[in-house]
Amino acid sequence: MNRIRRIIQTLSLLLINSNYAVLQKFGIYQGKFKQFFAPALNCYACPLARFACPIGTLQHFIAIRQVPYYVGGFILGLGGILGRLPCGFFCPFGFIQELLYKIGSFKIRIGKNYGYLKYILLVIIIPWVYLSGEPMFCKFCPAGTLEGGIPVMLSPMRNDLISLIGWHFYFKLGILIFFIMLFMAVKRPFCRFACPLGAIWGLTNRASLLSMKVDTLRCSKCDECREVCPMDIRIYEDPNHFDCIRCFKCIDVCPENVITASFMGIPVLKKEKIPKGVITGGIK
Amino acid sequence: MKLNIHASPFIITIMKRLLAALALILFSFYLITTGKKHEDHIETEFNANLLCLSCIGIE
Repeated sequence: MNRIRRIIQTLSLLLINSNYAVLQKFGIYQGKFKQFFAPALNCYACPLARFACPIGTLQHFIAIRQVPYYVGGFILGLGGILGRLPCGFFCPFGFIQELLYKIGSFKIRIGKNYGYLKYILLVIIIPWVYLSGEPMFCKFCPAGTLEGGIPVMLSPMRNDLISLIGWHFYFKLGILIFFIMLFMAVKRPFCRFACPLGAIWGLTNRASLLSMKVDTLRCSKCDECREVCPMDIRIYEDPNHFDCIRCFKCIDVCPENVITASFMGIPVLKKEKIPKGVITGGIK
Repeated sequence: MKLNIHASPFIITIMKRLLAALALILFSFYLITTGKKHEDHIETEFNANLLCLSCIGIE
């Protein structure tokens, strides 16, 4: 399953950022696809971006004091069906974090309670955007710097924008460098502690059609699931925890086969039990 | 006549979850269709076509 997820993550990265015409003539994509949202946090100032960022658009509507009908419907609808699965399968920034975590040997484990930080951030950001009339989260977002800021500043557009660069650009660059260092030591720290889209989809984990279930009576609490979990959670404590991104890695590694993914109550993913007596070790 | 109906807690949990998901999906469907009806609303979606200067750290 993890191999399939990696393929989907790669395809998603390439599809969400598929404005390859930019390689011939530089500019920001302004076609029809920009009215649709990427199913993930992906900066729409990225020259390669073909879809709009849901959080950027949500902030735009809050800033102009209009009800965010369209984007609100998109976020809640996708969350209602899949919960936080898009974070695990489609988010390019999450994918980058997982790849960077593989680098280096210095690892830090941060307690799950810090996951509430993103909700505190969400509660601060929404009124701040409303009162200031500006997309305040974008002003800090490291995904925007990585996907939008740096490529634009390395492009021919640089000549027009260079005079506008000030402390804010370097401030954002500092945030990105801080997070990149964190990515190598902590499992998906941006998704766990800062992402507002992940925070909203995390809430829908409790009510989504796709859900996780753990047979706690048979679970030996060996923590194999936590070891492989990209969000560092113990799924047996709360199968539909707001940080579960439905990557299904825990299903693959569970030695007791007690974890199941269900859609509308019907099990759709479960590791097959190996019947007793069947030799799996090959011919000796 | 006294009805004696026992639904297992598992079924009740699934039903509750399905109802919550259905409510969420219906509400999102309402939001999307309402958003689509507002022509100017769709037009503003195209603001995403502009270069977001905040995103790249330019004031």
